[in-house]
Amino acid sequence: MNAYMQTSAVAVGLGALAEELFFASREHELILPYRRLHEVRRRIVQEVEEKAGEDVAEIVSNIATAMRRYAPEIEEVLAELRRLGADPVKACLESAVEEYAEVLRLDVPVGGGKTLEDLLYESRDEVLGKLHEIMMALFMEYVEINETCDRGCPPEAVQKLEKLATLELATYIIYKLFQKQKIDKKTTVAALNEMVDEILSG
Amino acid sequence: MIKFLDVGHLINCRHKIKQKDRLVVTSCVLKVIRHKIEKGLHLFLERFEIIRDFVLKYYSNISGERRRRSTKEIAKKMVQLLEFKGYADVAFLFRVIARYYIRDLEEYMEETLLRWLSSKVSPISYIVYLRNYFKKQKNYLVFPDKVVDSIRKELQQNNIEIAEIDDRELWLDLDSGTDREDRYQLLCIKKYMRNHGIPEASLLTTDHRLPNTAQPFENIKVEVVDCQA
Repeated sequence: MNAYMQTSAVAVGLGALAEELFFASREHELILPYRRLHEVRRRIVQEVEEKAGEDVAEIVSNIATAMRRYAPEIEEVLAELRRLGADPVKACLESAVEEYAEVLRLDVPVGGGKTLEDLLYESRDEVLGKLHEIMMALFMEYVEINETCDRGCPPEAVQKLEKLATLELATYIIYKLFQKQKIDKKTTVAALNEMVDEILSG
Repeated sequence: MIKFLDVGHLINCRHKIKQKDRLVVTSCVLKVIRHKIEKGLHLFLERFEIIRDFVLKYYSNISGERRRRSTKEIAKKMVQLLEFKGYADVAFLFRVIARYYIRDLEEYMEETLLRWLSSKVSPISYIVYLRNYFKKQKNYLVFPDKVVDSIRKELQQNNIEIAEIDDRELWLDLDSGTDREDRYQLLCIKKYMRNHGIPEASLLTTDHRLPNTAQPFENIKVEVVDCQA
């Protein structure tokens, strides 16, 4: 994928899991361009989700196709961010690191007066456990890449971020398919396992 | 008097040198540690889901704040839990992590987990973090060597000698048995003593069964010490 498309994927996908699962209520706090990016993300997720099977490779390929279709719209938003003085990749990466750090401190509320930590220990749910593993893996990778992005991210870092952003979106889609009972628990866990291995493969 | 240290002593004890003592660790001991780490690591990754489940179960009755500890404290607790559940090899891995500063792991942990989250972490985050660290770019392949390098470094800093032994035939000559690693360590010491004309030496261990295994080695006096870290 070219640099233009890579930036689009990063802007839309990075932090998707943390934001959609835990920070959706904070949407109104974002400035308009970021709200527009989230809106595009949701349309992509919905499109891919509708035609998705349970195959991870197929989901990833469908995300790339949808991303290409939305590229002009995403580029418009990115241009707006640049006019505001932001480096979209760097800004999205920094925000993703902070969001994952916040989630992984495990004290984010998950409803019913409980925190993510309570839920992890009390439910001992396999899917939640896998999501925790994936978020930790993404956090580890993002922190490491962030170290190389002092004066803007180098091309190889952006390329890696694009891959991770796509995997993030794919993870979220798999989770949504599971929630809607379109795939069973065993299939979900297997797909999420594949995802964590792919994230950590370098 | 020359005093050799075995694997148990190296992993469980802090080493204070009295001036009259000369402490020596053979390269065979480090080789055994490397082998055990490799085994423990393999099992930790293979049985991760089961291990995670009993960690979650154990800590589910403890409230959030009391659950959170430093990574070293969690590693120590993991040793107890794993031994209780019969995972001795994985327990060994955590014992080494609890006892030694494994350079790459500790540095990486400081830059990510501890810097961004907190100096006290939830046990589940710690074991997931470790698992990801081992899997990341196949770190599990080089981790055993990193452990041995870190132990070597600490031994050097503490003026404990490392005796390099050519052990090619020693391991092969041994028949199988649960005490094979102990006999191997003893044979390495014997070879070193013979090559250096040392008539008598001590072996410091934490293993109460070792005096039995060492009976045929008359000029090696086994001293069992109790110093669980």
